[in-house]
Amino acid sequence: MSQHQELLPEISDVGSKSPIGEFSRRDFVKVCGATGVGMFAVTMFGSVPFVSALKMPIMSDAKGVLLHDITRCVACRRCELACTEFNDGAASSYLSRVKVARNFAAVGGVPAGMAVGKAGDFRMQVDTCKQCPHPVPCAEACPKGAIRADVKTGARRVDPALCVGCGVCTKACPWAVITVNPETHKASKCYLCDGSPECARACPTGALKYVAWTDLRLSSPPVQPGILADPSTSSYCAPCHS
Amino acid sequence: MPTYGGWTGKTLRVDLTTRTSTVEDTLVKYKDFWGGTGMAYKVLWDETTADTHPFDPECPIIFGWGPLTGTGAPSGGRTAITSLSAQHPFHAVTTGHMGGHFSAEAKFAGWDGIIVVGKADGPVYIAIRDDKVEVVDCPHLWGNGIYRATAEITQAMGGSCQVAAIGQAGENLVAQSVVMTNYSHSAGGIGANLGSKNLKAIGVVGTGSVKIAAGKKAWRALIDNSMQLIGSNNQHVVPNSPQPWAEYVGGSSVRWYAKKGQYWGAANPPVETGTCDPHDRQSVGYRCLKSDPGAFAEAYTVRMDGCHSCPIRCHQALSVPTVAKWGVPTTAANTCTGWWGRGLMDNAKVIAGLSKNDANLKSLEAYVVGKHMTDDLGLTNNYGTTDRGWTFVLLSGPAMLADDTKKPTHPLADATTLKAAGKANVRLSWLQTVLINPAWDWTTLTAAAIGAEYASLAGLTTTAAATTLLGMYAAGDLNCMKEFGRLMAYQVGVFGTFMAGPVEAGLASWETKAPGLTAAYHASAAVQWWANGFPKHHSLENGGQVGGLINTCYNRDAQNHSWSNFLANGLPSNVSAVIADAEFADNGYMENMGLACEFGSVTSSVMNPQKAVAARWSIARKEIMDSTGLCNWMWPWIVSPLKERGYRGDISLESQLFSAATGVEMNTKEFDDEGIRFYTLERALTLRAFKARNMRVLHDQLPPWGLAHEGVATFNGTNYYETHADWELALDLFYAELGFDQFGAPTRATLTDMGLAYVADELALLPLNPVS
Repeated sequence: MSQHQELLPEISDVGSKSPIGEFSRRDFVKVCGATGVGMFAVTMFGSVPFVSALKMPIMSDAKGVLLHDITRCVACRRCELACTEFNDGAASSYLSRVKVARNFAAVGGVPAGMAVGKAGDFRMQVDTCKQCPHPVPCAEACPKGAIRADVKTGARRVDPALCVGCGVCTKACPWAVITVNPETHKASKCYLCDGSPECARACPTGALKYVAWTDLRLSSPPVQPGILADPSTSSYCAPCHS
Repeated sequence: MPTYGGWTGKTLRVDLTTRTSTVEDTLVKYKDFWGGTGMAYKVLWDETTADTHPFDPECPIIFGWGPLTGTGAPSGGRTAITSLSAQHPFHAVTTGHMGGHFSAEAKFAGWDGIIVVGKADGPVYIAIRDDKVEVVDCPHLWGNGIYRATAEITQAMGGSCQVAAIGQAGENLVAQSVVMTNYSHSAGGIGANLGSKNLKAIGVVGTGSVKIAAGKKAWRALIDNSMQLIGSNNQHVVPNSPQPWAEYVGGSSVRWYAKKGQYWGAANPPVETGTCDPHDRQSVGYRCLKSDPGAFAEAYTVRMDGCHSCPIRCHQALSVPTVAKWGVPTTAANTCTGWWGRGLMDNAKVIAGLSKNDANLKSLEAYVVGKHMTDDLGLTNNYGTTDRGWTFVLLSGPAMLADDTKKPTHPLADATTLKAAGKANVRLSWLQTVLINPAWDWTTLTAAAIGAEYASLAGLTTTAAATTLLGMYAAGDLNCMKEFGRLMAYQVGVFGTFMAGPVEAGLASWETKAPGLTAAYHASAAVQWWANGFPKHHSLENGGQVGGLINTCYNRDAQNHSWSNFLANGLPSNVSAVIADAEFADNGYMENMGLACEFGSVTSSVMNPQKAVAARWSIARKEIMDSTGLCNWMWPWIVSPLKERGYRGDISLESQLFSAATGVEMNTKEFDDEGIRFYTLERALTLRAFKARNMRVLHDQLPPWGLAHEGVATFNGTNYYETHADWELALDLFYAELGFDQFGAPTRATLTDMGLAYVADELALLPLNPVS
């Protein structure tokens, strides 16, 4: 069974080879549902105690992911609007789970016409959540265990009941696509709209597409930028990533 | 107070003199005027007098949008910048309209509008980061172009920052100047107003949101419906080439361009626009490959661009590497007359002896160089008026002057005459028209004199053609455009001053040297001057009297597409007729409009009440768009591309969107009445500027060319020329429809009904005609 065909949530197969060995998938799900809090090893502050037996949650890959085509995007930002209006009841660029506006300008002293972007060569980069495979930086950084695999899609989803709005996840995300809503004080990130992403539906050129997740690690070396890992976590990874 | 969606509830006021900002409660002060132009008219009525000059510090500039700005309502990225006009002879109220993303970002920052008053003691820009507002000194930006200012402010404020800036033209108080955002979206004729306040730009970053009053499900249904009914640019709803799904094919002027085998050729890899079935929502953005430079430019198209929230992209984003030799960026985006330089090198084969392909490329380079020159300097072309002037200068260079076949033979020759003479390709300009009259003692503003003046200004020791502005053009040197723009933006020399200033003032200044110049200018059909002192913009050619009445309404070229879009939608007239009857609850709507069911023909030439109703509706919708943030180049949607609906659109969509977003329930009639209320206040401001009430004589007359056939041929409507008597009838019926008196002034009863009794008090004090 391929990664994106798995029913979620469940621990991927690598879990059976991990230090939490005897901890079954069923148990993991059970604990997640029962407590949710304090399961993660990674914290920026060192103030959240590790739960020794559950240093790192291992989530199966999401079923799908949003892909953005830089050549087709026309910078209309209807994706940002659909994301926020149909999810939050309010239109916002800042809160949007897809990020367009911040990539408009030629910055860094590059003159107009000579950089990527609306003010440059017109090719528009849009940032989307990559629904990272294990290890999931935002989920691992969350001191409350509030980011989990969505039951339906496997998307890494914020549980607002657990989120305390500390913003650690926004620092941990390599793509900076998580935002803390200043009004609700809850982190907001892409959850793939239960499998029918509003942004892709609203895109007038098909530049945003919802596609099956393909784990390229099977054919290329793993690259995971900037994960804030405690040394003990590194050792935890060793059995699988030696 | 109830809670509303749509509005943020806050309007920002910045006083540059004191460098302070204050917050005004939108819902208390301006809710009855919505936003955009509606709000701006109210501010100007309250805060200016008949003697306020546009450059007085106390004269407000209102950056306006509306309750639908920043929402998902399609085509909602407009900004209306309203103040008193530096171009207008009486400095009447005017608005510069720009698209882009500025208004949405300002809305996300929490503002329903920005009112700027006062004058800074040195160059500044306003930096807005949500509710934090600063007046920032920027002497380092003054004297720089819009591109540099935009780039530096963006770097200072962050990547999502949106900037609206002026260039050197605005700084130098050039009447023909713009405010520009996103490097290509410009608000014409309003740049000097910022310059007079030492205001270089406004930068804004917003992290807030715009609340939608309706539930998510209801709002989504409304957005879905809007997206189903949207067409292509200008709400044209049939393709201009046969497509597998299409029942009808429009003419070449229809702006639904997509087809199989057509590409954004400079995308990597190229992207095919395709057939764009109207039911496919993921291809809506490909419908409009509006290639103003022609099909040749498709290969240089990176993609299409446009405004916030609009799926129809009408700005063409080009990459033309060969323009690097002219010292401008190799990428450029714009649309329509925003492409200064358009047509300038259309005759490159003749001038430079180039091959067809090289000539096409040279012409395309002219588009790009011209765009960069004017958009960086911040010049407007007054809907083609000023480029008619520079076209004269450049096309009357040695190569053209030597060819008698390319010169009009009579100063009042119009396009029809030229066409009949087989000279349709003559690029007749108003300066060409008047300058060739040998009877005039026109000794200074001649082509040779301009060349000599340029040579002198440039420090050249000779006026030989090869070293003058004209010589540069004749040699195919596109630096001539940059030099031309420099003369205008800095008002250098006789010619630069002439071109940069208000048209009427420029004409008057030459009247002693060229008696009759103004009259000749006004009479020329080629000039396309309208009697309000500005160019026509979809006038008599768009439905005769209806188009004419629309052109009488404002103090600049009409920025009104409610009516012209419908006429040009691409559907057969008999189909449009059925739809119009349904949407306007009329019987024989098209016939009453003088538009037969045979495309292009006319059945009724005379004015009638239905035409007045149509003109009123078109004006109402223009004001509604400018006061909600929607785009009147796209809205309203009388027709749609859907065969299963009989191609019917829905003219109630805007009121539905307004009601859903704000929570203020409003039906279509109430909605249109509000638009007319806003226009009535604009009219009152115009009366105030004229210091007189007799708009019929002072403001609303036809240009002489509109009456050209009177006494010569029977007015039959087909040629869109009018008779004097019929035009007076048109004004009678139009005034009655608007609740104006016989002089075109709003009556007290009308104003009172609209809650504008305080306006009536002041208007009552005005004389009928100006007191000299």
